[in-house]
Amino acid sequence: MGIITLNGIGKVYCTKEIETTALENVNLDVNEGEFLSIMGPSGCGKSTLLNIIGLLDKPTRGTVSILGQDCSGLSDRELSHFRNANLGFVFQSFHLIPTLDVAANVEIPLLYRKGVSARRRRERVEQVLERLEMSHRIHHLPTQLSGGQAQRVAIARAIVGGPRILLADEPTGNLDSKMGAEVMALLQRLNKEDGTTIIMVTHNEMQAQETDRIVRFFDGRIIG
Amino acid sequence: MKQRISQIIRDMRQQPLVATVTFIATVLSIFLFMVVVITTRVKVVPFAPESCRDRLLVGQYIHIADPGNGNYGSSGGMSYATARKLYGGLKGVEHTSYFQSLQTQSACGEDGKYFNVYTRPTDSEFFKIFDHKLIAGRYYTAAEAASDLPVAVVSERTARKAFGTVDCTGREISLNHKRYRVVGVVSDHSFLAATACGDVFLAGGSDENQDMFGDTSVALLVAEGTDFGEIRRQVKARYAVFDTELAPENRVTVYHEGPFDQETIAGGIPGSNNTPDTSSDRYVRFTLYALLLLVPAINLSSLLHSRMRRRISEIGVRRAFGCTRRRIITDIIRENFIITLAGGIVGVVLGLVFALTYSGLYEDMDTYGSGVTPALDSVINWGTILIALGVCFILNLISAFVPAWQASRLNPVEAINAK
Amino acid sequence: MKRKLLKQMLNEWRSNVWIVLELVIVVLVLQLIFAILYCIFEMRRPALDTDISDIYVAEVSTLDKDCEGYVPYDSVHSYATDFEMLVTKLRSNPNVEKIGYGTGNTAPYHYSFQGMTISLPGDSSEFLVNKRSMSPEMLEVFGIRGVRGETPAQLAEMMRKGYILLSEAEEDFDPEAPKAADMAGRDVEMKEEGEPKTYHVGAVVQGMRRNDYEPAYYGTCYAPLSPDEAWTIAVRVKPGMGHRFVESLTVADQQAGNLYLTNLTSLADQRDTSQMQMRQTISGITVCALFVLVMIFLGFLGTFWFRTQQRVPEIAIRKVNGASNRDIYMRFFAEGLVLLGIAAVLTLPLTVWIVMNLSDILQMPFPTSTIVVAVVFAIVLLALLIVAGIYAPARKAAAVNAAEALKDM
Repeated sequence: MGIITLNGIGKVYCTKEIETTALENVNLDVNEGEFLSIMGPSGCGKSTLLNIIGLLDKPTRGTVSILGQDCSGLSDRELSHFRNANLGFVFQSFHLIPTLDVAANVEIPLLYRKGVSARRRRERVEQVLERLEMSHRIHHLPTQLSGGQAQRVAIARAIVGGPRILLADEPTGNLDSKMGAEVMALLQRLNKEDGTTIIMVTHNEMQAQETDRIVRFFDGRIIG
Repeated sequence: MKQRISQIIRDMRQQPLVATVTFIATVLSIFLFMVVVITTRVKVVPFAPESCRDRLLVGQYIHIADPGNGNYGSSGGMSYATARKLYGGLKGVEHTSYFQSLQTQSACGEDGKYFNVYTRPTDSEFFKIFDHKLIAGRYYTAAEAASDLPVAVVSERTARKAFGTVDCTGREISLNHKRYRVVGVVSDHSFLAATACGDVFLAGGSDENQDMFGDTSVALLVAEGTDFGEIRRQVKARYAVFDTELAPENRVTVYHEGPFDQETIAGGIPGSNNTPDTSSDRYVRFTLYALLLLVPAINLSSLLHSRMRRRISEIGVRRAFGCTRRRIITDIIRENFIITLAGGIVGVVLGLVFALTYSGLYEDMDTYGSGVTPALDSVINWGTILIALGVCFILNLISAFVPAWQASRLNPVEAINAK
Repeated sequence: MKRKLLKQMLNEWRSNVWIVLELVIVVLVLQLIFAILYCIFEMRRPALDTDISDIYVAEVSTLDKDCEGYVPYDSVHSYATDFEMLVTKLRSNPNVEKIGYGTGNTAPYHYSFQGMTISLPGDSSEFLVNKRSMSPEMLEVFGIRGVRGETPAQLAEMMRKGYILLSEAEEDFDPEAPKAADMAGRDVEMKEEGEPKTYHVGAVVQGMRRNDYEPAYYGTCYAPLSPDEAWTIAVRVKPGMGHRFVESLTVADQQAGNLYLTNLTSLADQRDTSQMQMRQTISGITVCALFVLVMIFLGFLGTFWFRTQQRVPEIAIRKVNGASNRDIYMRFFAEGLVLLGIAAVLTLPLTVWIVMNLSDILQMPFPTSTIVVAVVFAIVLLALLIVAGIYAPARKAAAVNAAEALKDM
């Protein structure tokens, strides 16, 4: 049994009279420490799947187990705590909070964890930023960063809480190829050094080839 | 905290107009609310010379009905005899003072120039209930008051006008052409102390008038811990005794829930033949308070709603990283409280300055047309500060709760991807 | 176009609900305030319809027995002789044109009311009057005129004969009551402390209320008074004296025998003091009205400014497709006014109910036009304010550079 187990996942969106099937009977096992990439054309349901794995969205059918826990019955509060403890997110357009400086952005996941003192949080933020070579930007605002730097900060935010799983939704989609390569290298490093399980949605075949396994999606189904 | 404040400032800078409007609206609403609260409160909070307001009861009028003769009846001020009969020597009362209402008199000092003063004949107990601060000399004695000796205690202002100095004990002042010897000088006080105020106090307080009606009021200093209701029960019993005396003339007293406490006095006593309606005063007051809070709260709420819409994706990201719904709500409310508090402080300061300087606010209490301003300690005190804080808190809560709740219900996936 | 406007507003319903809720409260408050103000101003007329700027009133007090200069009264020297002496002294003052004397309720702006009923002999229906006792000259001080054009001097002459003068009640309170006009020139009975006394009514004259805001459901009876019952005086001075008249009087001018004047004030000052509470009420509710108006202005300014920012692309597309600046303005204004319209419709039943009950709440009569006036005033004022609050955002919206805005998308 893997770190993530998806069993018969289906997702149907209902808007007024139209039903849209986003996912249909998706079964997937992800092993601990695996670097998995999900590929497919736009609108094939890969982002939906990532949101379901990230416990941000609920499937219409099927069960999601993460770290051996069945997550379908959890309350919103329990889901929040679970995400905070075990999951990290990286987004295509970074989603750094524009009114907070780098340190405060990275600190966010630690704010929602009980019993972490302000001093401990600062130490941890400095440590992570140093590891990602972003220490010199610690008091800058997101608008003062380049795209590559912003994504690095976003990754720092995703790993600051020490999650076992990292979910990345087209992390290089808004970056030029050079910066994209840097971000990929960083993700590889995290996967190797920390053993963090990474699931990455991408359009980039070359980047997908660098990962341990590629899952291909079409019209809400896994096709290979 | 520092982070939080700098985030607020950056956020406000991004939307300067909405931020300015929010700030002005907050300042304005807290300002107006505090002005209303202060002007209402100076009528009830204790301050010298009415430091005793919490323990003070005042008896003022008597109303006698004539049931045999239609609706006819007489009502008006009490004579000294009536006041004693109804309010003298009650149990649970520390001091009982008889005094008369203010009169304008033409005063003349040693330089022969005339000026108007407000005089009040009182007994000597008056100064045991009301803390008029002596600057020179002494209060008049019970013996002096009982024999109506022409002695007077004057206010500092009056002393300076009549003699050019406060050191004037033993000198003579003429009031309506009658000469009085000054025995003491008390410090000036706000005429918002409507029961105790005066420029000149004259030894007396009793009148020889054997009629039922007159111009005597009675102040009761109730012993610590004694219930006002207990005093009223005794007074009511006195009314019953009075009724038996009136029975041969076929007349009865009409009891109007006296003696009155400060809240009732502040609300205005509706003449001698009506029962003051404190509950309807309160009702009007609280409707006004609610209105003064509700209108700006809804306004601020829709402004906050606008501000939050710019930050939807921030909320989504926070949710993704494990922020619970409740935390979203409390964070938004907390953040908004800082803004409300900042606006509130400006509003309160403006309100205090306005309340202390603009005497037009107290026109309705300015029975003597002398232009009153409140005592400093009746405006600035812990009560005012506490109310100001409370109002900021309530304003914040009702304006921020719904937008915060809406923000917490956002679907994180949609929120993250919102523009 | 209109349907689209409504549809788009529905999409914004969350923030629109707030605005409408706020408008509902504000519309209600404003309508109430305008109703009250309208009633007050509708009722407001000078208590005495004559120029009072040169009239002064004072009370007459007696020296205390202990005072120096006090002369005990005897068979020759009495209160009345001292009083006549004081009046004569004042009459000879070069600034004084007329002087009269009376009691506590001789002049307006004094709360005392001496209620009497007057009836024609043999008729049980009664006419309620406030009896104002005075010397005949007082009619000249106050400039009271008869409804048939009788001059104050002629009326004073009637009063010297012992006649009383009556005015009609201004509010038709009791349709059964006899009219003053029916009593003119006839003998009537006035009930005073039980015993009816017969008087001759000299003429029907203008009335005098107790203050400018009082609904007078009673008439005024001007009745003669003897000096031994008088304790107030009123003087009319040469025009344009102002406060200088009070200053020009010495202590000796104000004293005669055992009597002296106290509280000498101009009637205009007396009016201002006695109507302080009403003025306070008016200014209080006006401040409330201003406050809610400012709030509405700020609210619309803030919310619509934000909407402009949100809608830049939409506005750009409209402009590309040929919308003029004016169309954009109109769209924003229409949005604000539709919200106001919804709020107005929602409040209307409540407003009608409240205004209908106003006369009970305020204990004063109110004309039926109040509802219309209150609703129209409140809505028009709010509409103006909303347009003012939306103007700046709308201008910004119209100034959107379509090409720039669409490039960003």
